[in-house]
Amino acid sequence: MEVAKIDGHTLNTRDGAVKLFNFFLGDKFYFKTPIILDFANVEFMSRSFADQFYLLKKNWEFGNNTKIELQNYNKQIAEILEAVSNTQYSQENKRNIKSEIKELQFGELKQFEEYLLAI
Amino acid sequence: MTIIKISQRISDNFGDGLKHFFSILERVQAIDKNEPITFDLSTCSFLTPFFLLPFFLLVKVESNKREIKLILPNNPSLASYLQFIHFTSGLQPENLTDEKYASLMKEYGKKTYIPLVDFPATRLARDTEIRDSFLSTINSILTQQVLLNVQFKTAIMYLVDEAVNNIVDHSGESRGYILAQYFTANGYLDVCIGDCGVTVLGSYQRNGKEDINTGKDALISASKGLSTKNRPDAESRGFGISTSLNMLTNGLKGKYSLLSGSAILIKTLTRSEVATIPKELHWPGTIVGLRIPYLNNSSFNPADYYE
Repeated sequence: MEVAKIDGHTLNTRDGAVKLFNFFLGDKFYFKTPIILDFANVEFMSRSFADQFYLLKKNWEFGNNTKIELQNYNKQIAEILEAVSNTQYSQENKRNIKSEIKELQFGELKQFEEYLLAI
Repeated sequence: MTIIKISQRISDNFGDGLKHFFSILERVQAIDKNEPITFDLSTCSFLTPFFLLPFFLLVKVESNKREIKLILPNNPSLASYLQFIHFTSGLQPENLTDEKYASLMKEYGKKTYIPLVDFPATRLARDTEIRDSFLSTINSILTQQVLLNVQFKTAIMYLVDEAVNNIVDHSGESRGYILAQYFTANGYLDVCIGDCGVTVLGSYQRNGKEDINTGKDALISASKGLSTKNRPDAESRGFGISTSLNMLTNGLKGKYSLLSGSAILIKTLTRSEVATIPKELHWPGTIVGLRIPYLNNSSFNPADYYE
């Protein structure tokens, strides 16, 4: 299945990933065959698309006991998929990251304007 | 009728656009809510995306409450620029035929800026299709204008995508807005993306994060990547801000601002600050400013910043 023909050359949104999966969810034929997603001519995959795609792919593979294979993907796609696979389910840990952000408070416009001018 | 005169020149200093925007916002807040306002841009000679997009949103918000008039600049090149970027109304991709949209966007490939696009931000199938197509076009125009190498192209697409998707995922609003300009002489691209939605704090609260109860806490949590969702099996819908912050400021040596409600997050190579702003300057929405310098640095790789 050629991804670029379904979602275009840049994969931008979560909904794009849903659209891709709906494409084969709607066809019973795919339940019986291994699925190969061909990313030829896809230039870019956003974090949002990758995140949704990863989750849908995992659920599909679990639910249908079959693997979805990816081919002809570029380095950027490989890297973003690797990144999302490392971050799924780790949200709560992020609460504990020590904040290195300095906290400021401005009560008056003039002070705040001076701050903005200094950036 | 109150007349508010806009400064003649807004410098390209990163914070100057917002400074002027807040100064106007303060004046607007002090005017009786039923009194008409005229914004006079007649003497303006230079305006930047970091002023123009917030100002456009302010005019939009205020137009729902009262009569608003705009006096456009006398300076012919600025007047023509504002007309070309669709400053008074915003360009709505869904109102154009596919052919018209494609040819219009092709014209911008030769410019150093994109129009002020007013894009649909819901998850309806038609809106998603429009947004996907608009994002592909914007990405292609920006990279065509700036003639970037592949790593910078990926970085720009990542940063713009993340900010646009945050509007879709978190703003609760049906429209989002983007404006960008490449400053050739200075070698950087300024991108401003905004909405009039529930703010970052509002998004956390709508999703039951009751321990986050100030604008400042919300921006700190978002900058750490904390998701708005509580479910461990949910997709990780954090704001993605931590990656953008890191990639833009540490990787590209750029600058990042995020104004949301009553707080602002500023991140540069040397600053990492969240400020509570004066309460009369509360902004009902979120506005992101990205200053992306073009450094011809072959060792930069966006993947080094994916978290």
